[in-house]
Amino acid sequence: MFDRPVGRGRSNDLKKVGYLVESATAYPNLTVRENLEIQRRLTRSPASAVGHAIGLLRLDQYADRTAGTLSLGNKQRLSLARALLHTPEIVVLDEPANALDPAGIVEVRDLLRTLAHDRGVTVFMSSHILAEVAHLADRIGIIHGGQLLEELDVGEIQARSGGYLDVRVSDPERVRALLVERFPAVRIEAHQGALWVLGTTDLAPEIARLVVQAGFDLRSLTPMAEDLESYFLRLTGGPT
Amino acid sequence: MLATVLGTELLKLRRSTITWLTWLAFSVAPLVGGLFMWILKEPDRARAIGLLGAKAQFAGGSADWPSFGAMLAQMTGVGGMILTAVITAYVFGREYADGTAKNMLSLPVRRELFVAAKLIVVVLWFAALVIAIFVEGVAIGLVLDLPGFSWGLLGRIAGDVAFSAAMCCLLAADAADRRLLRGIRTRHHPRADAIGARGEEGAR
Repeated sequence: MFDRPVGRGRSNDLKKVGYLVESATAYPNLTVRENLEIQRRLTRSPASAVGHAIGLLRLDQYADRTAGTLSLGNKQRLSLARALLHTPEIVVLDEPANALDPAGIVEVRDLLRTLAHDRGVTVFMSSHILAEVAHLADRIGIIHGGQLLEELDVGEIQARSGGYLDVRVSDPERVRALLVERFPAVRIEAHQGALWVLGTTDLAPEIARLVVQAGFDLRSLTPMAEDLESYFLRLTGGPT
Repeated sequence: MLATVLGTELLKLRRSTITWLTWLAFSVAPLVGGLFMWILKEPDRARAIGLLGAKAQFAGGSADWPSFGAMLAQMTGVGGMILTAVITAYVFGREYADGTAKNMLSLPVRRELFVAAKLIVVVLWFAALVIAIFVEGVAIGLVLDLPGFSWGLLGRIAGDVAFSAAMCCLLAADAADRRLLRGIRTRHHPRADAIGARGEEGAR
């Protein structure tokens, strides 16, 4: 992290990291302001940071309520405010949209996007709400059963999941070579006996003609549409 | 930096009911001591309202400042053992109960500082209780008008109470868990259940 190993004696680097993992947490007997004040002092942030963080997450009307009396959504805002209070360069968030109302989800999404694009903050975010991920991320890693299955730029995922052709033929390997030669700009993958022509479904008639003219059997040719969720399910072996 | 951490640790106690609960619980000590003294001093009146004089007599001592002082010091020790365990378990355990422990680990503060600050909070909290209880005890003694008062004796009682309290603080350091301190040195995370379990053990 920051070109240096993470470990003991490196706790100063943590000053540049904001962190919200698992559920929203706070000291229930302290007010929103006091909870943030603790974070401010321990991160040695300027006195204005607390007010700024309260404004950022729109907690003004709750600033002097004790955290124990907050709704889950507002507790989530408090936790986000705490994670962002010391203007970190890296933000690690787990399910940032948790418990937020629909307007709050959009608000937090815009906030994170602004941080990332305007201030160059790196946001690591984990979520199982894939629509939320698709809204925000530039690069997506898919983790399943403790394994990182894939890590791709969002454009590539879109290319893969924007729809594809599932082609089943008598000799996939030779047909693949044929298709690659004919359509060099298109990604073609072999997948368990089938060929996937990725990113487009417009080529179906041409491919059908090509395969048949070359003397192979065309067993099926299916246009597939896909969003991130079904892409994930395909990658991880379906709903279990 | 320790001062900053200590400041935040004290801030965390604001509006907490358990500080008052520990004070209420500990205040039973001088009250019971005072009750014993009163029964010893006026056995006839105590018997008249149904209190057993024999038991108080059996508990030993006589109705005067030296035995009342000894009782205060003893109760500080007995009550203090329980209270320091409760306070220590609360001060450390709440971070797990409130789920804030993980955030502490993500702060640019060495863990040793949190442990040190928390132990100081335990000692300060307990010291405040002991002073309150001592003042209450002396007030009760004066109200009962116990014989044998002298400033020198009061000083000795204060010394005994302080000594009992100090011994309890050493216990608190142990209740904070030697495993926890060792865990910090060996880079392992302090374990929530370890602290909780030790605290409860002490309380029992």
